[in-house]
Amino acid sequence: MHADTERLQRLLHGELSAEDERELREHLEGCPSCAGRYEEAASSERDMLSLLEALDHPAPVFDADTLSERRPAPSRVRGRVLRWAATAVLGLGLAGAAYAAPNSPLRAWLGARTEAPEPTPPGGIRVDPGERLVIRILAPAELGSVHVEISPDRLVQISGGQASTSFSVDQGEVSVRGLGEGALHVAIPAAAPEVEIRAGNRQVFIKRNTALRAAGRGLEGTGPFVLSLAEGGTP
Amino acid sequence: MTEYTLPAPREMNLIQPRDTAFRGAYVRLVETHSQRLFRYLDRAGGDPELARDLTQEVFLRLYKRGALPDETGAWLITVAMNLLRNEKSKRARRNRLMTPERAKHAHSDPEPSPMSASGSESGLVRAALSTLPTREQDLLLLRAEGYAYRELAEAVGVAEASVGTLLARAKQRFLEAYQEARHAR
Repeated sequence: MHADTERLQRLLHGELSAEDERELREHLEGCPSCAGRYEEAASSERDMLSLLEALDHPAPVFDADTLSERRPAPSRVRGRVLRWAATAVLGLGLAGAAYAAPNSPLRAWLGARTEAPEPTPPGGIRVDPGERLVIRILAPAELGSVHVEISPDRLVQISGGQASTSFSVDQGEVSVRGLGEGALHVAIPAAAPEVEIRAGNRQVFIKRNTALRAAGRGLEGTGPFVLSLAEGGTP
Repeated sequence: MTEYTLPAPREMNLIQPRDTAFRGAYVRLVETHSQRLFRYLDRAGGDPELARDLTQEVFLRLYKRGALPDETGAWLITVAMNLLRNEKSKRARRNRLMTPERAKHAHSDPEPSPMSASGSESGLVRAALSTLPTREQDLLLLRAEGYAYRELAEAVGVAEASVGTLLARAKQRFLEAYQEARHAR
């Protein structure tokens, strides 16, 4: 009995069980008709694969790290999908921050295939600035100081404070708790579109593209700036 | 400038990472499937930038899902197919709403018209491919990326027992259409 098309295709694509494959190959050896059909099917497969290559463009490199840095292109992926993607990218960015954190278990997960990140400062955090990042110093927010400088890095680095200072990240905002009389050090990437530092609801400092401004102090320039939170800023 | 000493490391309140097993599997899936999905989307849509965006979108969705689907290959294919279909529909709708003058200048159709590049080899191949029903195109393109019959059946919505027969038919139609397009050149 001759082999049907389904079986020949399955043989071609390695979709038969070992026993079925052995049986069919034995049959093909003694059946010129089926052997011819199989050769024809194999030839068609080769022709098809070869022709499809004419449609190909160079493929980009994808890996988990690339995806975590992804910025969806607004003109291409819109609406709900875009909002979802932005959220996911932010999540991945935050995961990156978690990766960079001291004692982070993420490094153990990825250690085998990912290069070690830049050294994380003690008591600090690194965050992807995204399109806009707010660093909010929570009450009491009028006792300490903030040291701001522009850096060539990709991530915003926030460090310093006191032993009781803690950082949390949520939806494009870093909250700094327990700064007290400590000095917070913020290094902002030159390429970050917008990073704002707020003490409670007061704006203390903003970097918008290349413009740096310390609110209420008339300070502008390339920095670094040392801002006393006690001096107050623009409400 | 104020000088201060950085305090010692301490616990920080950061987001909770996903579990180790998922993260490891996710990385492996990106490595195994991203190029295949990109090539499928590029061939099916004819727009490499869109293919790149949609490939990323597929994996972002998987990451957000936070757990592996039962049939991972089929899940990835299905999401990729749906994203491409939605994008094509949106573009078609947008084109319908445009004035004829704007539509003429818009870069909008992810699937170039067979006529627009009919002289080139890629134009001939695309013209031949476009003569097949979408389901057969998907079967051919996904099988070319090595996806298993089980995954194809689930993603495309056909009986697994007939995948080989459908593939043979689609291949034959595609090759015949290509020869016709070539002779008509």
